[in-house]
Amino acid sequence: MTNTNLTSKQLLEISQGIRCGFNDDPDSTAAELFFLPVDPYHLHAFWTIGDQLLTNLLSEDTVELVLKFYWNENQLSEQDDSTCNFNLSINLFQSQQSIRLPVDDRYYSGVIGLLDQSQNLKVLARSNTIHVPRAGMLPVNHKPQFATAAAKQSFVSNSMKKELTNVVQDNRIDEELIHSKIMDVLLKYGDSNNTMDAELLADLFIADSGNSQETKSGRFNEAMIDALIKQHLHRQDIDSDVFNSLFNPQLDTIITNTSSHTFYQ
Amino acid sequence: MQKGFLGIVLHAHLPYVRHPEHPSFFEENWLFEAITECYIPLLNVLDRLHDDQIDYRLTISLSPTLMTMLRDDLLLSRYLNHLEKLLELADKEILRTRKDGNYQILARLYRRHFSRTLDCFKNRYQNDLLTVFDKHHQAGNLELITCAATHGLLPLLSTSQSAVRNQVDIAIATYQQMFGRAPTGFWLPECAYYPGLESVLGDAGINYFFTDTHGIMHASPRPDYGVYAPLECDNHVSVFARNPEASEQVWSAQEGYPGDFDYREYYSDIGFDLDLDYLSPYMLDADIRIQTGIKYHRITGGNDGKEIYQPRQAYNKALLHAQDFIDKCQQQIDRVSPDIDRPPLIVAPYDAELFGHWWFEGPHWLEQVLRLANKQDNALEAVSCDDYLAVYPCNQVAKPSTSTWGDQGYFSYWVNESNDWIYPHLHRASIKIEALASAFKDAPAGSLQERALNQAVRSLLLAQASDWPFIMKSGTTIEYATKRMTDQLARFNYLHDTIVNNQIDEHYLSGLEQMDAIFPNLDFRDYCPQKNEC
Repeated sequence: MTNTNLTSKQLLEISQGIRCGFNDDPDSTAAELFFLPVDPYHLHAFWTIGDQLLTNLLSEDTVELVLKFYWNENQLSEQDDSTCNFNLSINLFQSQQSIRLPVDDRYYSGVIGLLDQSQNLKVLARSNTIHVPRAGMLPVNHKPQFATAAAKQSFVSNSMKKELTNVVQDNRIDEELIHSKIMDVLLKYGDSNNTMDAELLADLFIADSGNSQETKSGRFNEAMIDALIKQHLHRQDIDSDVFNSLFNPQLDTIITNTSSHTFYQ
Repeated sequence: MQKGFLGIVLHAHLPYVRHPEHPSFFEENWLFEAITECYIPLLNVLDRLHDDQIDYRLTISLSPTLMTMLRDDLLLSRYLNHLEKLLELADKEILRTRKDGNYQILARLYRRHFSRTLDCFKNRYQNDLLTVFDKHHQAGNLELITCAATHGLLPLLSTSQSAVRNQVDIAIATYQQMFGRAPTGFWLPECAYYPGLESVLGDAGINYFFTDTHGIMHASPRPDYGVYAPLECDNHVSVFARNPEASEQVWSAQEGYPGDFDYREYYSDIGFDLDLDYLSPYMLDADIRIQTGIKYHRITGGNDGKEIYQPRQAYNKALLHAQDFIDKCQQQIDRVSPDIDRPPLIVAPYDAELFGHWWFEGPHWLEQVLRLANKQDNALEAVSCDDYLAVYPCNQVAKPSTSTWGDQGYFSYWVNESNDWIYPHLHRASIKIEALASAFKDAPAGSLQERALNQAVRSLLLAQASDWPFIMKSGTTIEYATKRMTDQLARFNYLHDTIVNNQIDEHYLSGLEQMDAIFPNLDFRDYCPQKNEC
């Protein structure tokens, strides 16, 4: 952003000049359809069909402009007549409408198209998929499922692993960038105030890279990432000797046999 | 008495209203009134609690637009002018009411109140309320969280996943910039939730968010503990729901505390009661009546005229109502405790601006509630959501239900005949910014192109504020809301066209950057659709 300070008068001229030029007409060639949820039994549909088509339709009486709605309990991957659906004729001079829905708690999507006298539909545009709310409570659930600490830990570990893997894959040449992005991930999944620990862990992670150009691309491996995650989540005091020893490929057995080691407790 | 928890959450938000192109602007008064009547009184409450070593717990959500305005030099200097004018008016009122002792007592009270506010703001708080909020967060009593970047109603923006993602990410980045850390919780604007939103929040590092009552009660599967414990989404982000009874006690127009006859009447303001010639220096354009903040009457009730406000009586009523609130929370807890195997949690969220602005005595009520909740002989303990999750980290896994805390519980307040015209514009703008972001992602850093693209994002974000369609429906300042919406869309379209046509005018761009000076570190490239976004 700039530091230039325009006067109030100049700013007002700019603001008024831009406002006067506002003319947000829809693309005159493209057809478009999108939905917004309103409540369990209504959605709002917005559409455009393009000026040329509109002109043709105004003089045409063998086809009808329709919206076709599909709904399902699960997010729809296919829209065809095997899915629950209904048609709605629409007024050529409208571009939006509130739609009454048959069922709550469903995913709805739709198409806008031309329906001929043989009931064949030529699709002009497809909508997004929305979920309309549930109207009431579900029946009593006699077996509620509760999260477990192990499941949460596993989820966090998996999420961290995915993000750290992406970091090293996307930035394998740039050490400084890897360092910074690793710190971001560690802070996200740990104490966001503990930048010192995160920085030290990231330092140790990078330190094992060695200086050889030939080894650079292969130096960050899955075992290193796993160790980094375990170190961070267990919040042990940083022990650089033990940590570094984990990345020696000849000591892979140490990683798998450390379940009784105090390092992982 | 059974043990239970009370989580009070205040959501503080104002839309971004800042007009350097005018010497003054009426709608900027929204911020000035909120600072005077709500935020400084709330901070004074927290200061007193801290000074008295009360170990309270309270959660406050500060919206990014509000945080930005509270650090804006132009608005803060205008606020000081606003306070000076209030003091001047209060002095005139003291003179005017010199022959009526009852009114003069109140005029003097207002003079003292405005004088203390000015002194507090300038000297004690150093013109920086955010630092004071942060001080209480660092002390361990206040939990500060945030909400979407410009308070966009996320389900209605979800035709574009990048729009939703950036409303969340930019909010978190703004919070980090202000406080040097990430928030753990997130306030969804209008508590508007849709399935899948938890993934966006989880990816952004958020641990918990809030929904309205039926967001949890209509969850799948059905919640075993109702609203008295949070649910956990599949990605382990927790969701807390509003307790309807605790809300009713405060929000109900018929039975809520703020409607008590002893409390100050909001609508009886001298700006609408006194001679216009006398008031003209303090009115809009000298001749349009507006609220001044000086109000002399209590709600009173009945069909006779309003009676004079009695501050001591109102204060005592606030203390009684605080005790009543605690008692009723305890009754709730005693009632439901046999049915659940942990202390029930009552989550009581409110708009922060209720306290002090709409309900003048609200801050005193809140202070007393927090003092009472701290008492050792209470079974009720005030907590934050993080406190609760530290004790009960594993909760029932369920998917919340689409919902808002708006009228009727869904989206009709924001999608209806008064405001539906905005959505095709927002939808098209979202498509355009994604296309621009992809096409120009290699724009050189600091270039005119990059500046224009970032400014286009700012215009889009500001157009996405849910405040504007809300106001269009509520009918309060429709003209202004429409103008703001149109201006931001016009600015977006202007920038889009100049970027696409390679005709960026630096003078115009600088003007827009100066007028919409928000989110300085955003990057338009974040609008490139991600792999899992269609």
